[in-house]
Amino acid sequence: MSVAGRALLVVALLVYPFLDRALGLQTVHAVSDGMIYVLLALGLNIVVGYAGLLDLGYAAFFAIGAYAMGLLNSPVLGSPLYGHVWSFWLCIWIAAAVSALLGAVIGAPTLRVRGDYLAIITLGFGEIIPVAIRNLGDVTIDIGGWRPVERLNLTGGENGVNPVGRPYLPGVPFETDPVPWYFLILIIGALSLWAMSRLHDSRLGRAWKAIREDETAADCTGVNPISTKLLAFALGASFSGFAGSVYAAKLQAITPGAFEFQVSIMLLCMVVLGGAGSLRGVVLGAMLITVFDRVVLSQTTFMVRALGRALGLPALVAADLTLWRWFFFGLGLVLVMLLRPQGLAGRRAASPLVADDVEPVGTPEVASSPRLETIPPWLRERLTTAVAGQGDPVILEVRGLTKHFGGVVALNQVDLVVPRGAIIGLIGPNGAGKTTFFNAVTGLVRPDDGSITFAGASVVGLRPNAIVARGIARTFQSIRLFPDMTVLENVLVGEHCRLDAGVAGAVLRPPSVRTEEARARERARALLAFVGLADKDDATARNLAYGDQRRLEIARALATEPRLLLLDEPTAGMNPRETETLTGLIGLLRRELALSVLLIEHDMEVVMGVSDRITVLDYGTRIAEGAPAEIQRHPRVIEAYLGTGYEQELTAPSGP
Amino acid sequence: MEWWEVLVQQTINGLTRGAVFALIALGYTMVYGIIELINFAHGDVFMLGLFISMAWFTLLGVSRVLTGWELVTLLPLVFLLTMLSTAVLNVVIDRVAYRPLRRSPRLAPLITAIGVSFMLENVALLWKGPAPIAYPDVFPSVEILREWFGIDSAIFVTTKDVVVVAVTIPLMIALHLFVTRTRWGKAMRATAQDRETAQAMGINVERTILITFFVGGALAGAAGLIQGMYYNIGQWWMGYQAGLRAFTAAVLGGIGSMGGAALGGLVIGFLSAWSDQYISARWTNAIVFSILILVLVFRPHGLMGEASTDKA
Amino acid sequence: MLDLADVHTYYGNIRALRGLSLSVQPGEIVTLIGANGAGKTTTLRTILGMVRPRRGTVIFNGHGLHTLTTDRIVRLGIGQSPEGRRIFPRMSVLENLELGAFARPDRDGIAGDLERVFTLFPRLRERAAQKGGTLSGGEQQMLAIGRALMARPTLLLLDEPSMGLSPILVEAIFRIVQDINRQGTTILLVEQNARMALRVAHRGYVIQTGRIVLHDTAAALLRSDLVRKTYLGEK
Repeated sequence: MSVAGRALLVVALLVYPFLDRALGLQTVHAVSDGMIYVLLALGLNIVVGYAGLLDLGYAAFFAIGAYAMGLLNSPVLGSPLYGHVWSFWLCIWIAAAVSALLGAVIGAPTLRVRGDYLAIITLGFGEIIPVAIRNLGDVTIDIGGWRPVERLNLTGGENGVNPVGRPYLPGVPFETDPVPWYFLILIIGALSLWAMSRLHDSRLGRAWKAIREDETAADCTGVNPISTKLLAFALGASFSGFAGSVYAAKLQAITPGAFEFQVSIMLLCMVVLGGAGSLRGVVLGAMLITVFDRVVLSQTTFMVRALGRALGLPALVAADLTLWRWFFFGLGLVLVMLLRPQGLAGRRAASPLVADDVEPVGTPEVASSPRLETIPPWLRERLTTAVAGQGDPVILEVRGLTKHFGGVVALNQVDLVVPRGAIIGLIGPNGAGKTTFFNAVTGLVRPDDGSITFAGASVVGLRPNAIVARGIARTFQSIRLFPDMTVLENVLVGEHCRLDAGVAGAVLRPPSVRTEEARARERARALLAFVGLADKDDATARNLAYGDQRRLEIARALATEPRLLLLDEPTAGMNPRETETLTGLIGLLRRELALSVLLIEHDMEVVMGVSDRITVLDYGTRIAEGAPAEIQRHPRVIEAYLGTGYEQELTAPSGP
Repeated sequence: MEWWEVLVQQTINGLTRGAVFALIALGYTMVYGIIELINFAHGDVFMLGLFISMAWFTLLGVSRVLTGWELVTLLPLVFLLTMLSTAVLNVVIDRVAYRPLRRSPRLAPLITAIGVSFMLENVALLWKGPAPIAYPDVFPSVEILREWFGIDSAIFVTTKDVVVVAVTIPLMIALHLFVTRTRWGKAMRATAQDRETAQAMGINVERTILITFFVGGALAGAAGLIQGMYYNIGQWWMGYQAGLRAFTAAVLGGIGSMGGAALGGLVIGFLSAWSDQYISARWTNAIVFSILILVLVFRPHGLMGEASTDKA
Repeated sequence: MLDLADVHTYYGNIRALRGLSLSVQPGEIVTLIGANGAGKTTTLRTILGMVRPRRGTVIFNGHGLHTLTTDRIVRLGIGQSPEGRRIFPRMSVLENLELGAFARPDRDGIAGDLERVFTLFPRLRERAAQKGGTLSGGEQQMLAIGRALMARPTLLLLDEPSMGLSPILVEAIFRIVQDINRQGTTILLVEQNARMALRVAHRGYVIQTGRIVLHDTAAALLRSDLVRKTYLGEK
């Protein structure tokens, strides 16, 4: 939106209530109520849009916020906070905090559960809380005649809480005149939007996006999915708490009936219609739905009735389209999912297939090979000085690693050592356990037995993101980038575990955070230049050519400042030229950055050419270990790959 | 009433509720097993089944208690017609709203299902109005203990209780036979276990899914008729509550397992009856949903399902 | 009978098959060997329609397979024993076999074929009521092959039947493969175990990073050192 457009919008928003009063339209009340829902939708957007968690019980936080304000700031339950000048202004923060706390409490056990189950669990909470509110107005505990608690009123029960204390500002009457309320909500809304857009473009915002796109990849890139999701839940809940408190104060009364499942769904409609993740979209969606709900349906009813009278059709005269609102909301959800799932303002995901027909043989290489001079000095410094401090010649030591999946033995007492600065190849036939090995070392899978020692300390039992922080990075066989994030953002996610900014830092952006972000971007760009993706900062990851995607994955892994790099079939699907470039890169990394590399590969030429030593697995057992030339001649290896007795076959007399 | 009489009464209540929940839960579990979709609209198909059965009764001119010949011919006929109607409805919903999203991420069809649920509820609201609707009293209700056995007891067992069980059990047996003995039932099971290999056997996966929705819808319709016949009341939002309780039953029993759905239905039936009696009907929903949450968090594969290592 | 011409198949961005061509004549056993990751299973999946080639054609007895759905392809007479067996774990041996015959138009022949499979694999008859998931690896492989035979295919695709089996079992399975072929079924055998595959096959193709690099009679391939070099990356 241009500056002029923005200015116009601000003016319109400021002028509107006075215009309304002058024209006698009396719409400000309804619009203010609608704005509260916009605020709620924005909060839900953090949970659904930013973090990708489908929350079907969001109205529960709305209820908590409203009730917190209601109970703290009302004479009904004898609250000491009621009746002061600062009552409202204090209670609104307490209400938000209570909501956030509840969000964390609900989130903690449920966030480990997968997506659709999570949705149902949030729905469950969304149902339980109104029930609790309704019934806690009259609590009596009767144990065989003994009544320790009799008719205790905790929530006002079915009748709700009434009255609720109003905000106090000298000279500003918060009574029946809707204008002060309008501005109050407008200011809160504007501040919320500001905070959210700050959050969106921060370390935390990137972490949310990464988790939403590929949680496992995010985990293996150093982002802690659980604490990050929890933060989304709690923050989303806190906005709902704000909205709920204002709602309670404005309405002067709250009843449990205002927080039913339908409200949660209406909010979901706003987020989904507008485009989850886009602030502009959500505001747009919220406005559209509020307008539709309150204006369109009733106006259309008038028109239909008039038409009915004109045509003499009694059925039309009796029509009442406002009774159809949930039908239209439901239809809206269905249509959006079927026709435009990214919503009105969401970015249309580009085609998942890269136009590869344009890759004829003999095209000049698009990106350049990484060269010595382009190694980012910061990375060289970080890695080599860190390394210089340690004396241990071995960086990774795995002993007796064992893992069962049901009855199948995936890894059987496997030993493997990666000396510092070495390139070790890990090969073996299909199903030999190589990827399971990687998964065990990176924490995706917990070994049943054995030890994994990295730089002198055990990493068994650590979460994947903790292992990344220790210094082990990995790439995946089927490249797992964050497809809808830009190239630069992908690398920045890699830096996540080396940066510090939290929620406050993201919103307030003190100088320390701004410096941190600037430095992070500089470093990311240097890395991209190093791997040969210099001018592609803003390209969307999913649109890159295949070879470039591989490089990006490596750049992202390097951003975590690893000391050990685990590469899972890095040359899969590459042509010979790309393969050569990649092998060159691996060699460079070892030579200049003292990186140790453990490499799974099927391309035997690559492995034999680049590795110092090779370990061979077959059926989860290590069957050979040694230099490439030895391995190529090793009888057990030949057997494993080509079949028992292959060598004999060559020398045996031929016959049918 | 003596305490044990109350217990027996509530247990009978639990059994009849459980039967209805089991029938609905089977629909949830079958669809989930084959396409991993929580069919949010399923409870509303149940609710519409109740109203559709009412419409069939009206169409056939039934307005009073059936007896004798009429009972034996008209009642099964309406059952069949209702089940057919809801089966077709379920299939149409799948074709229109879920099938286009087969390859979408899992949350997309769930959102669509919620949309469909709202649409169906609103249709019922407009069709029948917001107030509870009286279901015609078509089934003769005879107090068994008193009138047949001459026992003077506070326990209230009627022919209606018997017929609920008498209808549900054969339906479940029929389902079991369908799934274990027939070609298409086996195709359903195979597709649920390994879709790709099922295709490699020449099984048309889409047709199998269609059959699954058909059968699930039919069961929901039967449940709706039973509900109406037994409680003589229906309301447009009852599908939401019944649906969630039945879904809890399916999850408790082990989503994807049909035996689990039946078992879960019974357990939730008993639990809700006992909760209504001994705690308070106001809290029953909270209790059922708490069970749902606890199962999903701590034992998502339920009582009879298999633990899976699926992370996504 | 089966002809693949210049097939290019992609998984998302990864090009798994780069201009692959091979053919299978009626009555043969043709083997496709290569290191893992080379594209063997992708070739079979392309034939079966589980993944569509972006370029190239797959013709089976005059039918173009690259536009058909998997279940239609199977009905044309192609049976498969998939990589990793993929038997239905919670269904019995008998049910697995019956499912193999799902698409057959002639329901009467099923009983006879069931008998034939049990004769071929007596162990399966013993375990007819047992759930598939409880069988041993070798028994599962027998079940997978038996299940594929129940469709009375004209072309049988075998994907890595030796995987996870002891050498003795492997010998037994491959002997049975030869029997099946002698009884009239054409076989395309995908294997990593080059030796066993080349001993039973008539002709062999060696695949490496998505394209055929060697093609000859099985005997010739068995004698040459090239196969080993391809597998183990020697120049």
